[in-house]
Amino acid sequence: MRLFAALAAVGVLGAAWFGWSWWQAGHGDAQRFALTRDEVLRQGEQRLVVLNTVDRRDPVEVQRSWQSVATGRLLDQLTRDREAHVRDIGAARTATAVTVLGAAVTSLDVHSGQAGLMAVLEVGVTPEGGPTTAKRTRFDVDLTRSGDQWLLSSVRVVGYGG
Amino acid sequence: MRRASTLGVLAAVVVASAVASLWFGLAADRLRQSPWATNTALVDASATRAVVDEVGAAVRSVFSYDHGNTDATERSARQVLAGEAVEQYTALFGEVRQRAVEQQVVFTTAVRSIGVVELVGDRARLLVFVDQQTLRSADNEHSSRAGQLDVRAERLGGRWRITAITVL
Repeated sequence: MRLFAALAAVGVLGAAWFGWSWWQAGHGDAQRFALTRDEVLRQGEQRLVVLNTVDRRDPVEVQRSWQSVATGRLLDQLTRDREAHVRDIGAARTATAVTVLGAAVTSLDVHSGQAGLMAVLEVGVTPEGGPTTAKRTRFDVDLTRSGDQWLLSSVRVVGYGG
Repeated sequence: MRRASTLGVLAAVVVASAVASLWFGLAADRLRQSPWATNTALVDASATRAVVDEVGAAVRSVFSYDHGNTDATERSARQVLAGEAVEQYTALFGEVRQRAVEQQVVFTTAVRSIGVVELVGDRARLLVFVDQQTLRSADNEHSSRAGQLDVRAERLGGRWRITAITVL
C-alpha cells in the first residue's frame, strides 16, 4: 500500500514536470518569439508580393489590394495617390508575376509590434501582347502589427548606393 | 475491500501519470525539434549579431581586391572560407586576379543589408545585399552593380566561415 502511494505520488509529480516542460516548449518567451518571427516572414513575403502585383484588367481592385496590405505612412501614401495609381495601372496595360527569391527578418520587437524584413523579388512584367521581361529588385521593409496581422508600413527599394 | 479499492485508485493514478508523462514528453520533443523552434535567428540576439558581423566582414573582404595587393584578398579568403566555398573561390579568383593585375582593377564590395534566414547551432544561412564597384585605372573605367547573395556559413573553431555562396 505504502509503495503504491509513493509510486502514485512520484507519478503525479513526474507528469506535472513533463507537462510543465511541454508547456514551456510551446509557450516560453523564446518559442513565442520564434513563432512570431516566422509569422512576420510569411506575412511580409505575402504582402510584398501583393504590393508588386499589377493586373491591367482591374486597376481599382489592384489599388484596393495594395491598400489592404499597408498601414501607417505607406497606407497614407497609397490613399493619397489612389487616383493616380488607378489611372497608371489602367494605362500601363501590363500584368506582373511575382516570385520571392529570398527573404529574412532583420529585426523584431514583439512588444511594440515593429519588425524589419529584407527580400529579393523577381517581378516578371508582361505587356499586353508582348513578351515577359523579368527584373530582380531588393527591398527593405518595415512591418507594423495591426491586430493579428503584420502590415507593411514602409517599403524601400534598395538600389545601388541609394 | 476499502484497501483493495484504494489500491485500485492508486494503480490507476500511477498508470495515468505514466501515460501523461510519456505524452507530454513526446509532444515537448516534437515541439523542440520543429523548424521554428530550432532556428534561433533573432531569438538568440547575441549569436545573431555575431554571425551577422562576422559573415558581413567576410563577404566584404573576399569580394574586395586591389590589383596591387591581391595577396591580401587571398589571405583573408583562406581565413574566412571553408568547404565548398574554397574551391568555388579559388576557381573564380585565379581568373579575376590575372585580369585585376592586367587592367589595374580595384574592386570594392559594400554590404547594404544583411539578415539571418536560419541559425541552427553552428550552421547559418544569410541573405546579403551587396553594392559592388569596379575601378579600372588602366582606362579609367568605372562601373557598379547591385547584387544579392544567399550565403551559408558554419562556425569552425569559434569563428563563422562562409561554406557556400549562391548569387540570387
